[in-house]
Amino acid sequence: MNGKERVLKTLNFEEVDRTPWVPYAGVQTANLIGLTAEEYLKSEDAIVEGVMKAYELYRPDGLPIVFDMQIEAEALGCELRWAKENPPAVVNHILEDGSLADLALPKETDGRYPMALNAAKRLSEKIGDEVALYALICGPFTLASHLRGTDLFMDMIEDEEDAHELMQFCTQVAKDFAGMYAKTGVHVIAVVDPMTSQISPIHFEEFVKPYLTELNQSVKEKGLKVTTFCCGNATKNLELMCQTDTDGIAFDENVDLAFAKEVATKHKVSFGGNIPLTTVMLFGSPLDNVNEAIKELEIGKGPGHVLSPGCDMPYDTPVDNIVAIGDYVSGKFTSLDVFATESALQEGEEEVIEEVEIQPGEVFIEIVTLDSEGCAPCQYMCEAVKKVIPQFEEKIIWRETLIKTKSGIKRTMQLGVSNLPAMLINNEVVFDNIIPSEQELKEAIRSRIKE
Amino acid sequence: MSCFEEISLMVQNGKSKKVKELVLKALDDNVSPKEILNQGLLAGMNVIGVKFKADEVFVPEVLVSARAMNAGMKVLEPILAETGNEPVGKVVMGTVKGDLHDIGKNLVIMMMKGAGLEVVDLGIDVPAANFVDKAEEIGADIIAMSALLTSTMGNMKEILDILDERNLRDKYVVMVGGAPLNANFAKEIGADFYAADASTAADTAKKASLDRKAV
Repeated sequence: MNGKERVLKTLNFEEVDRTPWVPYAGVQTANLIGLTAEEYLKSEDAIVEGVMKAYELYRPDGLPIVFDMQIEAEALGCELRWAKENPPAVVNHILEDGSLADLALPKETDGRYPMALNAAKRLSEKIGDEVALYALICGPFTLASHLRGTDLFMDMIEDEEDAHELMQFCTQVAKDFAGMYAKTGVHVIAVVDPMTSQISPIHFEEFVKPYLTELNQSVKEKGLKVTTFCCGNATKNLELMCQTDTDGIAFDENVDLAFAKEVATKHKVSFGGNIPLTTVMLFGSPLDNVNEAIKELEIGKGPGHVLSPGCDMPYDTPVDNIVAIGDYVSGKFTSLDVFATESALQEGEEEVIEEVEIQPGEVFIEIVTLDSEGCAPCQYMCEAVKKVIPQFEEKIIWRETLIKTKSGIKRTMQLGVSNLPAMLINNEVVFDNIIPSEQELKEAIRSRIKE
Repeated sequence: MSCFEEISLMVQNGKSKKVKELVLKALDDNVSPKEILNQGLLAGMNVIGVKFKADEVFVPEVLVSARAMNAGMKVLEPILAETGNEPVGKVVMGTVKGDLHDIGKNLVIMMMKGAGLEVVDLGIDVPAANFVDKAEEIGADIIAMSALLTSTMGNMKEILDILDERNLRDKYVVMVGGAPLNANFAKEIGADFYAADASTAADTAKKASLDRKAV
């Protein structure tokens, strides 16, 4: 099963071999290829190059293409303020004074539409068979607030008809853009509607749900999958999000994953998230990130779960943090180079690892892993040892050492380990980056039984 | 229902016109403007603040309530100015340099006004020095900053650096807030308080102002 199949099956709420991993590589991808967010989000070539780089490094099962919720607003005439490390922000809300009647629906040739659509097409050709490609569109409610500003909130209470009229228009913009993307070969339309976390379930029901439902149905009719994303505290509206005919919901760390799983499972809707962006991804270490992934995989396990960051990863998110999660989830050996930054940090509790005294006639095997439950190679390595133990009667003492702290990483590096998991025999690295066959392992043990 | 309760309820329901009418009527009946403010307008906004914190009401409801409160304030302000009504404290507030997000900041300002504080809104994308200059100009008690982006929250530190450079750090209470922040970050950059939501920000600012006056 490849990444694309894994994601698409998960969005179908079918069982898969392991949880798919979809890193939201947006502005961080600009950093990855040495560009500012502005340079990146204005260049078709840069986007293709950046996404390809993310594809190579992060071992993703799915990837977003252009993470910028302002493309539609820009094409409709809103002025953008560009930044080095963030997607652009809308400066002027054209419907604060202007009239909806004066706005024309954007065409394929407007604004940055050609850039986004061409990038999607090129990436679909390059990697569309292996990974699920997500084309992001701005959700109708968020687009409406781009156009109307906070007056939209007032309208919902005082000029309901105006609010509905604007939502209809924004839904059409979204349907059109989704339709254009559908022709590029992408697999999933991700409707990103962060502003909906700011309104009550009553308002969601009236001003968001009917429009999202219409949009989601139109995407499905084109044979694509559709997901609904909301950042911020979306807890109160999750249930309603699941009722919009969507294939999946996505949310950030403000939402409790276990709660979201319960709600989504009830509706047989996929659920994705929610690695904390700031505390873990931006400021945490690679080990913190792996530990967070382990925790979330455990909570989310079962059909429907997609492991993802809470939202677009910050520009300065360390590459190693993302690589560490990708290696772990995909069951690859993790190079300790990824963790090198940890050893530079001395703080944290010292991990006490007991020395084992090896008696004559014995051999001591130590498997150093991140977590053998969730990490396939770790598990296989432990199984390999367990299998040969009976053949050596009582001569083998073995243990698994889980690396959870910085001092643990440091000690492991001092032992000469360069990848995890690794197998040490009598404190010497013997198998690193390879799971030994039964024969290899037995020979390695025999030759090291202490005289 | 007392006239205060009625005004409070209309603020909660976001009825601007009704609030204005009720305030004018209360003044006609010789009710003290200060009581109308505290027991009517601010009491109503306070209820909304508590409900907002408890996820019972959301941004749209807070916005219409704040507007209703302001409709009443407009009537009272000239009268209160004559009688020399002192605000609980003075705050300068803005979204830091590089950041254009204003919804959160505006909510905080509304809640702070609702708590009886005078707030100068510096707007969005505010250069660090402007916070300090304005605070000096109006004799503020509190400097409050907002950021929504991980890449702009670092700019908060600049304001604290300027305060240090000018030897003004002890003169102001510094508060920070915004989605990507937490209490640890506030501590790291040397701010006095972190507030997780608009209602907490208003409570914290009020308490900090009163504490300063008590010293």
